[in-house]
Amino acid sequence: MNTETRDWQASLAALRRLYEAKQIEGEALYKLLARAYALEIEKPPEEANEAFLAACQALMCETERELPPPQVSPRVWEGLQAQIRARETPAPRAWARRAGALAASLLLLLGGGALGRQWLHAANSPDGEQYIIQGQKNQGGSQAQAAPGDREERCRTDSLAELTAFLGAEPRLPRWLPEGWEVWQYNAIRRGDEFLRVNAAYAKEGEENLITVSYEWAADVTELSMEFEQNEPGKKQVLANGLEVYITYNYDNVLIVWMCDNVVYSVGGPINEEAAVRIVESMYQ
Amino acid sequence: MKKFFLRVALVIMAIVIFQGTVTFRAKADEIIPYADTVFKNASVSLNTSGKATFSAVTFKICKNIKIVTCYLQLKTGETYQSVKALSCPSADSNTNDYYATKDYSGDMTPGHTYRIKATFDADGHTLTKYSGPIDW
Repeated sequence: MNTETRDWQASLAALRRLYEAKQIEGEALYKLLARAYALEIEKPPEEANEAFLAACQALMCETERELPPPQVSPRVWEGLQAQIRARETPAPRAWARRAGALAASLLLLLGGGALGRQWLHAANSPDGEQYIIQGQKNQGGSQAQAAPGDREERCRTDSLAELTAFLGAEPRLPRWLPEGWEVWQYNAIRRGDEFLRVNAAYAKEGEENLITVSYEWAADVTELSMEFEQNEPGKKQVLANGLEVYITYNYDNVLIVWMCDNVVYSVGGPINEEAAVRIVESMYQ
Repeated sequence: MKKFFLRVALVIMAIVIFQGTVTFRAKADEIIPYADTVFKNASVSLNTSGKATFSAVTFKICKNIKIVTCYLQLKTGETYQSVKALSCPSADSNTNDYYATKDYSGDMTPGHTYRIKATFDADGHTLTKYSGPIDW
């Protein structure tokens, strides 16, 4: 047994112990394992570690019986990943941090550091006119390229059912809106398992501006680059659900931006801060 | 007598100039938001494969969102100069969400540092953005 084999076996064993000690919930563990599984299965067949895939899949089946085990079929895998993303919880807890560290080391080992060496960096522009989010990775990280077959798919609709069918899972969108606001348009763009962008626009009769709710995810976070316009630098705030957000204003439009894992979310519109916060919180109900 | 009128005229001129200065300063001291009335966010990025991504979200329903100008800029010393007008990605209509990608790998020469300068246009309202630099 070589060092690499011992390492992934030790990591899986440690994750299993955390799960058995109820320090990590099944769903969270499933999510972490699924990422590691995805990285491994994306490798060419001759390079993929079949023993790890089997062990990973077995542990996933133990932890989350409601979800089907990952299949090699890209279509099934896409749907599964979308479900995993939709189930992400924002509040970091001790067990989550510990499990996250373990999973990160596992992913570092298996995936050449795709997760361990990349992060999202947020900062105000020097003049304070923009809040800029940029995905970054260390020099050692490999540039994830879309496979030739990863074509871009788009969906534009005003039907949540149609959007959900396109994504393969219910998107993370508000379950509450201020009175009078209704869906005007949903937009979604997906490129295989590499990239996902969802934007929901809500309109109100007599109101010129829209409420927009957007999120963007990329397997390679260097693909994520966003510049949010603002009057001046805003403030950071921790919401009642533990989510840390950035709140600022663009003229009279309030803007809330936050990051969770490799996803950048934003909510903005001509509403007050309290209503915007309530919209954000409703996305996690 | 002429000197008197001259003095009065000078005083009046001085008052007018002073008032003008005060008014100008008062206007300058007003808080002028630098944000954008139309765009919630907009950005252009260029990856190491030469693929550019243009994305924007507006607060308004737009009949047309497009990139009106797109330049390849070459880093020379500490500054950038536009060296080539690039073809722009296609426009989108009746939306508040713009997303497009375009491959510019054939427009760059190895051994240089480049970035892209792009101007977004949402129903005539424009906003210019720059990508981060890449070493090609």
